[in-house]
Amino acid sequence: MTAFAAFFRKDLQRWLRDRAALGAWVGIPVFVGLLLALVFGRGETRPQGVLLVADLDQTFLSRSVAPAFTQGELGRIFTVAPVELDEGLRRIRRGEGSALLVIPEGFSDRFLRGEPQTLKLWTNPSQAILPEVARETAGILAEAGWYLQQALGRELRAMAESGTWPGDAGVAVLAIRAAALAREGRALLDSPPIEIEEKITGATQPANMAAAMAPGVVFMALLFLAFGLSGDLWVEKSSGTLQRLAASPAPLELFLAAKTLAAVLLMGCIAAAGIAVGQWLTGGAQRGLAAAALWAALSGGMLFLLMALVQTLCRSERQGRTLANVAALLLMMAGGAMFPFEAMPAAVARIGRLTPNGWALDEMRAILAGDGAGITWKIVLLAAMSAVLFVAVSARLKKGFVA
Amino acid sequence: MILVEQLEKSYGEVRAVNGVSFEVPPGEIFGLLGPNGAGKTTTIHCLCGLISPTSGRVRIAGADVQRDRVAARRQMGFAPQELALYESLSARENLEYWAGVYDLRGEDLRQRVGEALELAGLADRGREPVRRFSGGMKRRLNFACAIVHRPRVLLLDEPTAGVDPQSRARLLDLVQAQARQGAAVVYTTHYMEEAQQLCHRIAVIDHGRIIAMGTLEQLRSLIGGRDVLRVAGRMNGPRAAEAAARMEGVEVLSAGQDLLSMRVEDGARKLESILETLRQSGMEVRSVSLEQPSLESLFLQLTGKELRE
Repeated sequence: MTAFAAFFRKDLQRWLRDRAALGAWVGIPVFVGLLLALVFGRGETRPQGVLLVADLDQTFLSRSVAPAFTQGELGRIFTVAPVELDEGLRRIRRGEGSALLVIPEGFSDRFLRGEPQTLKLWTNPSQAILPEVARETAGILAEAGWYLQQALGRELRAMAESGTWPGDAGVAVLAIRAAALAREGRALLDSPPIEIEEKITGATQPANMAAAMAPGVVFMALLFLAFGLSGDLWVEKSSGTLQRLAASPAPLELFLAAKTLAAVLLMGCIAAAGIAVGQWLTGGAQRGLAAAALWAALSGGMLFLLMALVQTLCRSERQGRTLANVAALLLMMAGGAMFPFEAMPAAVARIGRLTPNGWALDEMRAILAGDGAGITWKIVLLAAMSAVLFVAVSARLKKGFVA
Repeated sequence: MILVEQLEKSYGEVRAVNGVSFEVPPGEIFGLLGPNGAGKTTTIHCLCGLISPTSGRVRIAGADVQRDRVAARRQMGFAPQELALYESLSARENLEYWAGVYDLRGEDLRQRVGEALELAGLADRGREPVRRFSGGMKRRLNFACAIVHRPRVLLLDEPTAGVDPQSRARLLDLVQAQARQGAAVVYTTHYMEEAQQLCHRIAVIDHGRIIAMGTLEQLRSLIGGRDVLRVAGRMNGPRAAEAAARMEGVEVLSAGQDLLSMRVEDGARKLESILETLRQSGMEVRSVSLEQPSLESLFLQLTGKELRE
């Protein structure tokens, strides 16, 4: 057995036997991921809101306004809840909804006569996106109403003045008029000569929250492992094994290289299992698994060395573990491991993507989405980062850490 | 085999090792005896190359520890004060690891691991995790890990710290066996009895300096065959020292408020008159101890303080 093989085998044996620690390093991220997935919901990542509608008019026309907010894609965003005005005001003030739309009494009559009127929209200031969507939708509705009045104003006014709803013949007249308008306007409404080709990049939005969380959970586990395994240097120091080793002919660089390789292997296996389970749970295609696991393993090695540097730069074991713990938690939170970048404010997500783990996580998601462009250079960059960290940790081991 | 010349190690203004020189031939057990903080561990760390000396030179089997590290370290086995073992690994796995570190492999590795387990008396417990071992068993395994590659030089830093008397005796036997096979051994301890029982030569070290060095007989002769008398009670330092010094054949070693230490010719015979003189001088005697010449008394004579202070 060569010294390198002895180091490598010893570390793997010890780490694999420490099942409690291994379980915690892997189990905590899985638990946190499950918790977050439960909090955010296992459904789609798009926001969900409640639109409160107080219909004071209660006519055919007024009742047709609320369904406009649940048509097509909007239906996946909003749930419409009909309410009385007082209840609606109370609920919106308590923040129990994204917006409250109040349709005033006499809405239909005024609309048919072409008279101006006001729809009131109360929005929830604690939400950013959904009230804006409600405001935009209400604006579109108002514009649609205006166009309708411009096109069929005469017929609508006649209907209003007759005081009764049109019979079958009246509806037929309106339909014929509408069809004629559509024919006349087709030249303007038909598709423009310029076609827009929509392209969806590989790094598409994940299908649901669980899918968004899965790569993050893998990186959370990698950070926990990097923190825990790098703490082994302090275990070796305090037990005297590092001292005894430093008095042997084997170089400390070899010892660190074997420890890093053992960490990479362990992290690679755990990452591969995590990615496969994540894809299976979220119904994703099992593509890019090997490449993603390899990338995660190499990233894990870099994170291990980063944590080892933080630990060995400290003067005591307590200080080292505390600082490394804080660093790992900060990297987890900022780097998209704990909260997906999609759930972060844009500025924070931009900063998070600049952290080593945030960058590596983004690249892994790209690999899983089938976008492995420039991966060779990215591996070279990752290897270069690891090499710099390796040299720094080796120097620290030789200067001051061991004795 | 081991040559140490004018070794010095300073940390800022503090000189942890100050001009230490000695030589240890093959087959000799050389003891470094001194209280905690005397500089024993720093000296042995300089010998292993764990820390670089400020000045001086260390050669192990002809190789300079600083300039020819690998050659020097190949000849060296080191057992640090701590139990340098992996608790989750078995005794055999620990030994295989340390043998592997020295590039042993194959049949040679298996044979030496087996021998080391036999020597340490752990052959029947070789597959058990070390965490289940008693303190004495761990100490023996710690020693076995230092000799698994059959080093020509053994550096042992307080290898019996915290073990029961039975395990200590067994460990001392193991060290003697290594010396009989030709290893040069440097052994640090603050246990006087261990040094007396084990070491062929002893260096007494205090404040980083060797204050006496030689065989046990040579060191005893430094005391001149006189007994050490310690009188405890209300001593009133200088007055007690003055009263004792007036007596013939009495040399005061140290005089504090509670303890008076003296070197006395034929102490048993003079004890009564000494106590009477002290009482007459107003001292209140509570307890008395009289010791035959030993390393402890030599240390007291040389430094004015107890070895275990």
